[in-house]
Amino acid sequence: MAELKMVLDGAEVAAREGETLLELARRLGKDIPTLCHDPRLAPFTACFLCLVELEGKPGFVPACGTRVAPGMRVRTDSPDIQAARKLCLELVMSTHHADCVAPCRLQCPDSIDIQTYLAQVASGDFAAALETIKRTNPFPSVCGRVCPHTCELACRRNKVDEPVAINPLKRFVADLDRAAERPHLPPVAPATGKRVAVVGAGPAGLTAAYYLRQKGHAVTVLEMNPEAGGMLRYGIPRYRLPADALDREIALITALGVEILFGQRLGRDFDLPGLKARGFDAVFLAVGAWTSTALQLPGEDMPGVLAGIDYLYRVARGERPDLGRRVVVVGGGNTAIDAARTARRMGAEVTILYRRTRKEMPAAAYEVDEAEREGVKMHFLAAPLALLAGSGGRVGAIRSQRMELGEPDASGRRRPVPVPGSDFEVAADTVVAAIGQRPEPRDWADAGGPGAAPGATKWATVEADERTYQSKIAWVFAAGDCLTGAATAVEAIAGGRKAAISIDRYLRGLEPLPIGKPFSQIIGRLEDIDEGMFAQVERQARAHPRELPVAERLGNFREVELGLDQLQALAEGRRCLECGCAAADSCDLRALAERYGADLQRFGVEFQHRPLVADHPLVIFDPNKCILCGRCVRICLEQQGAGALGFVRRGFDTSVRPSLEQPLLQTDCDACGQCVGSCPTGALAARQFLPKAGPYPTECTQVACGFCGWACRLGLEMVGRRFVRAGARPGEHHNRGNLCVDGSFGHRFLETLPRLRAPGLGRGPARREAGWDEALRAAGEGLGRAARGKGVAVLQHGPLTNEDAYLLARLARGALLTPRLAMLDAGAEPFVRAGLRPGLRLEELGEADRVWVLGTDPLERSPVAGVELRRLALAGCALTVLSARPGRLDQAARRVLRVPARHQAALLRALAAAARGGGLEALEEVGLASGVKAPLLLAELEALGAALRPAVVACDDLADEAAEALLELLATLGRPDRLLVLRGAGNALGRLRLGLHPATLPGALRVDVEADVRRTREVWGGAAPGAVAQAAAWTPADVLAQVRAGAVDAVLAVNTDPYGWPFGPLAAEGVFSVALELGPSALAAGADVALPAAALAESAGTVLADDGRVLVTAAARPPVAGRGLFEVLAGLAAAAGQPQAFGRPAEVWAEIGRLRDGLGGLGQPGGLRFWA
Amino acid sequence: MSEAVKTKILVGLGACGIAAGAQKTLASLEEGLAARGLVAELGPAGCMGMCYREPLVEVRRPGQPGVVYMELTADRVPRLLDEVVRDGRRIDEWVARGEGLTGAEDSFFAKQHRIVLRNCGRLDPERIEEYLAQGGYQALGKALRTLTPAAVIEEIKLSGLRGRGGAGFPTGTKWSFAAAQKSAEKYIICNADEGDPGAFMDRSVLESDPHAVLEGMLIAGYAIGATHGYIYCRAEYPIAIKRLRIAIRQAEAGGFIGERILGTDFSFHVVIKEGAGAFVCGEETALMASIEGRRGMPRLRPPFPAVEGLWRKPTNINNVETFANVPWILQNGGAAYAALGTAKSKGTKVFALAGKVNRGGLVEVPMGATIREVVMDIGGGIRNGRRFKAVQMGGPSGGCIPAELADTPIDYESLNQTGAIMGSGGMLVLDDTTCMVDVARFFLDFTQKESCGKCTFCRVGTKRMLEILERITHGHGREGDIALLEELAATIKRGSLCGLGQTAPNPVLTTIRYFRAEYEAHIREHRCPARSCRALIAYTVLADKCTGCQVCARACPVHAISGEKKGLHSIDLARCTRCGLCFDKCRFEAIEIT
Repeated sequence: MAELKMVLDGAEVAAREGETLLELARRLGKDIPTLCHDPRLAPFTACFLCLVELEGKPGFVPACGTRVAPGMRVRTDSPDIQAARKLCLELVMSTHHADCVAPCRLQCPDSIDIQTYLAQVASGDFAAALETIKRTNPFPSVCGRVCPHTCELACRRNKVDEPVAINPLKRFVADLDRAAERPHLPPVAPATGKRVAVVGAGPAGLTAAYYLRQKGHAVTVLEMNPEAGGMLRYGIPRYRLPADALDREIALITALGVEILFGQRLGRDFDLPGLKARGFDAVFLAVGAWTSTALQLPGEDMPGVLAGIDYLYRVARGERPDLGRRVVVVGGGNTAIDAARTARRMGAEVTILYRRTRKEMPAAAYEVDEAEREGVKMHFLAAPLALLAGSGGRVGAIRSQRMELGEPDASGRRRPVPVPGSDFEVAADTVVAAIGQRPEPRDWADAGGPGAAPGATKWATVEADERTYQSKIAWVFAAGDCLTGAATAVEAIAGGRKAAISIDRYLRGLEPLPIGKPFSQIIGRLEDIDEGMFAQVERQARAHPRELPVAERLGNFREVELGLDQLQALAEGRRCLECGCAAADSCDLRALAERYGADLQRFGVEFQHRPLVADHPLVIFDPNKCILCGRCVRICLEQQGAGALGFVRRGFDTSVRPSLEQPLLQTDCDACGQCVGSCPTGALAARQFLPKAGPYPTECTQVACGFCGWACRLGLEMVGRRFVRAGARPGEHHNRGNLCVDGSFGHRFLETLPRLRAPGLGRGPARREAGWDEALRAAGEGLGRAARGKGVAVLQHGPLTNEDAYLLARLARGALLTPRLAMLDAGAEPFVRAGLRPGLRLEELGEADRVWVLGTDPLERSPVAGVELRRLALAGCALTVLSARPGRLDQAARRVLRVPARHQAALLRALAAAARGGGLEALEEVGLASGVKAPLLLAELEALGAALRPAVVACDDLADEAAEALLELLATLGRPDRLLVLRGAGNALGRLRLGLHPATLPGALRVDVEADVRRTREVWGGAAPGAVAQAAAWTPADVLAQVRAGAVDAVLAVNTDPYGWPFGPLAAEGVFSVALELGPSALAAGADVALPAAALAESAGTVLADDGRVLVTAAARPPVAGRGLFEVLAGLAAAAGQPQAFGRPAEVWAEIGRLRDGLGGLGQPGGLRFWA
Repeated sequence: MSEAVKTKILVGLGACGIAAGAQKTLASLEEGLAARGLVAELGPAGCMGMCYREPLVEVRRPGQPGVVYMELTADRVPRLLDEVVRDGRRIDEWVARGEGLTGAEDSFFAKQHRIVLRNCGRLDPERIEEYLAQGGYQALGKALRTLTPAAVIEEIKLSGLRGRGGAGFPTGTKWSFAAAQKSAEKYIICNADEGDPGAFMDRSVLESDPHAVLEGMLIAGYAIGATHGYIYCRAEYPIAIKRLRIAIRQAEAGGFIGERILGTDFSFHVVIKEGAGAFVCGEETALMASIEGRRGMPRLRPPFPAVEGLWRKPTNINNVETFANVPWILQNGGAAYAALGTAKSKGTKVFALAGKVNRGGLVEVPMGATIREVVMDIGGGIRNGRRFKAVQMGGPSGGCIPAELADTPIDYESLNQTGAIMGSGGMLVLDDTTCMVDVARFFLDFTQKESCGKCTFCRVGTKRMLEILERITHGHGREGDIALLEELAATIKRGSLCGLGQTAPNPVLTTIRYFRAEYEAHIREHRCPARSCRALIAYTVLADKCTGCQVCARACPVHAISGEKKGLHSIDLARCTRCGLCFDKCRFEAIEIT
């Protein structure tokens, strides 16, 4: 490839002629962002995000479409470029009407991934839901009880009926975990050697400890109280939060190895410099806000006047302070309500005085309602003026005055203004002042002299950065109430978690970064959203947790709220509207917008929500998320040749629509899913069959696709054991990221196909479930018996790994001593033999100068191979199609020879004769008969013969005769190695070469070659490979005929039924039958032994692609019935009397290496990449 | 009877004439001639340029110079037939112009120099004979018989002709690029997708003198070695398309189009491709995509059409006006053409003069004439005696040039300096009642709707700019809006693939540049200085001028005006829609806009 010199960002570089600036930059490791470019497609230059500057051009140029030129001087980064890219992303985002992250999560102070856990609950995957919550919150059981759950205020379901019961669901999964034998414990990273002191075992401190410990740091918590929990234990009454719920979650934190030292008070028992001196690398201050705000009224120091938090603290410690009969609580926050309800439980008459109205109360509305139900009286618009002494020096009454609401104050609430002359008195034996709390700066601020500790703010809180949690003392961090002032538990937990991130960064020597909310586009505030958007949503009432009846509450501290049951939880999970995008974590647009700091609100625009297009069984299109990059349109046209999608309308109203604005199903759509794979946002998505689309934390397993012989490399994304979607990345592996309908969507069978879940013994009514050992013994012994009798027939169909195929061939020939070994999807017989020799590789095909394609249109039968051929043809390679029926590849072909199937063999034979230099009569004759003129055929033949690098690609469903003639033609031309057979069945080439065919022995040895048979015998320790050469492959009819003729005593059928092969009736024929099947088929039902099989995607091993390429494939999930095929086949062999020593699939290759030199390393990582 | 002894009557049947009722005039003439038993040759002609005086009828009596009569509606036909055709007299008060006479409209032509429009209105476009009689196809013959393709290109280069589609790329140079490509197949495309609102130069030329365009294409085809030509014409020009079809048929019959033209080895075929009217299809790469049957979306250049054009073959694309110049240049020599104009802009340019000017129409001036000459001398000044405020040059991609710069000579470089462009020749004259923010909004509204939707900046950026302009004209402008407009405009210009996006912000940028105070008045004072933005004005009745005539009250479509007869009227502003009818109708200037 010619190189040329040019300048990229000031440095001289060698560019390759014809490459684009984007390709050059990426090759040199420079990152240029793009949304519309896909390396498989011709440059489109639409999004303009990849814009760069070219010296001498006033405008920007798109790097994706601009080709290199000698002397070109390019800048890929500059303030102008940055600004333009940012603006570009802001403009794109202004048309991207979607939420990346659901509003509930954005609302949550702790950014809990609510949508995900709701989806997991909806699927019944409660443990996963708990794990999701615990990624950001170690106190779900606590929060599920005490959180004010503002998430539910943001829930869009408010626009439909009622919000989803987000918090009760959290409690539900947490309580399940709490009761579980083995509750969730996160893994702990290896020890880092760093030590952190956490001051305060409240929610902030314990949370930080939990996450810091997971990072491998040693954590010691210092707590002044005798028990851990802080305000959770001492500030929240037990009827809201039973001690057990708190204890259990704290126990799970200490179980990670977090040490808690009790009775340790900062400023009394230790100070900050002391901690440093004790070898702590960092200190986390989470000391809370324990000092009550004084009423500042005369008489406040009288007996009978209590601070709210002190009262609750004493009750929590088991004291029963003497309250007298009448208790007045001053204040409207949660502490006031807690104090009032607690006092009620202790038998007092309780009155709350609050200077504003109920609407302004900071306490949770639910708590206020419950207090009222429990008999607490409320005086609103009443402010205390003075505390009046009663008998014995104790408080006796409180004088108050009426208030009215004036103008809004700084907090946005209307300011209470006294009504003159409205004084009144309320009798009180006890007054509880609960108007606020603050931290106590003396604890930390003065320790160790000036500059040795963080200072305090004017609100008495710790002076520290509210986004990094770091104080001016680099190793001291703070969060929770002592940083924010008194706040909620979830805010403290969020602070603790985020502070842990900062502390971890600090300990690793990194600068702490501000930690904010997840980056997200938002379609609007709840109040601004048009309800019409949800017109289609079915109304469904919210599930309400059971409650302790009011009558049973007084005089005790039994928990009031009793939680949801499982049915309620499932239904509630399904009520989620899934506002957040399932593709949020894979979305290029979101990632780039965040990276470039795009201001998503810069163009505050109105947007008409458009309905989802969900009329296709596999693909869902959300036009609101489409950014018109055109990748779907172009991949459909350019790669797939279908052109099912296009642009309609102009300007800002341009949109992507199926061609002619038909439903997608009525277009030429192949349902290949390439559009979904190419979409850089979540606009195109594969339909899910879990109740909710996610997003889920998935694990991606790289497998070889088994739906045809091309063996595309793809990733199966699994949620636990459940399949979610399949995908491939552009440019990856030999399929270059392309997939067909089967690759994209076929693996749904993992979820949808009914499966055999346990072995079964006995036929018909006698069928019973059996254990694996029993079933394998019965099967092995029965087959072994038959082998010693008239023999066994072994039938196989569908993809197996090479290793499993070898075991099956070894079982059949070595243990069951049968030559009756039928691979039912082997394709044209002559191609079976051709498969034993090296064929054309994909790379060689790519360099071909002349290509013939024979048989069924590859775009139909091996679609990704078809895409490859199409690409080749469009790049200028002369491609001739010889087929009976029109196909889509025709459009790209230089010439199409339409030859009816019945004439194909004769035509190919005549061509072979002509190639031998024989007469042309035959050619003319077949030309006349088939309608293709002889001179044309001759010209094609000459062109193929003259080509330097010819290639012949044939589908294996060519008729046997035609296949034979084709081989003859290639032999005559002296190019037998230039054939690539596209096999219709998964790993067909591998299965053939590993001996699953009458004519082949493992290792691509042949039964008709004496040396091959001898070698096999030697390796297998004298066991005779079923040595009789079979004349031809078997058809199902042959098998039936043999069975009926009484030629065999038993049949072993592996995976033969999904396509409806007629083996169901075998049972009736009186032979012993073993069915190794995926599903409960007729054959399995009628077999003497039915064994559950594992699918290829559930098997680990290797697969051969059509061109001999070796692909390592992993098991995306464990086999459904507990045993993989490898174990099952080994078990069968053992039971049939041929024990084998293969513990792992890779071990079979050592033995195969002895059968045929050079194959031994094939199964090893880094071993052979080709078995040509 | 030979041509010379028959009276010839030509009726201007361009789209402008038809719109003014020329079809009725033609029918009356036919009828009247028959009724009077008069013999005359009656035929259509194209646009004579004086669109403001349509219908126009030229009468050529044998042996006498032709006289053009103006505003000749059907009711004037009998007098014309009686006095002029039958009696051989002249109706002086109707004469627009005539050779050797003083016509009312002579000054319209005084500063014009008509090369492209040389035959427009002077011949029957549906008869090739008339074109031939004017020397038509002689340039083609000269080229084919006496010049090599290279010599043709040299001649064009010598003339200094630059692309009249707007960008002004030297035509000879462009031809030489395509000529240099080795390919058995090459194409000539005539871009007749005239899309600027208010522009009608190309349509008039095609309607009035189609053969001149065909001849230009043929010469270009010969010069670059092409054998096929496409005329990409919008389907909204049915008359042009009809006349082109007739012209092609006649030229084929005459041996000017087809195989072995004029007996030489040169063969050339012409096909008309009707466009669906997308503005962006005037962009050459989008135009080619459209011809190929794909969505009209521009693509990145290079490769340029000269290298990889239609069907991926070398292609030369010129605009109608460019081609119409070519035969004249070949016949009169490149030097004669280059003698006209300025140092870098040679020859003439056709403009569609429109807006608040007294004489709107099709004018052709030598390059270097000033805007003031066109507006004041040819256009006859501003209508209703209002103040000349600005001209919008170059259509929606162009810019507004303020009256202060009216002495700017019309050439590519001078216009570019003002922030406007030559464009394809739209010239819209604005007076002091025009709001410049609203003008910018109007043109941006057009371009954003016509964006192909491909590039982010053009598709979304122009929409966002439009929204900002809309809120400004509605009085909801925000501080910072001008800066935001400027940032968007600058980035859209730099970050768009084709000319549409690269120029769409021009009207905004030039109005901000020359009329920033108007923007600021809208944003800060919620005031429209031109009193044009409806949301920002109010109509009131002046007590000292109102006579109580009730005309305004009757005219008001929403009954917002009340008042006793002979009493003071008043306007209910809550009901008033600011349509301005009262203002227009009042004969006493008693309505005031505030």
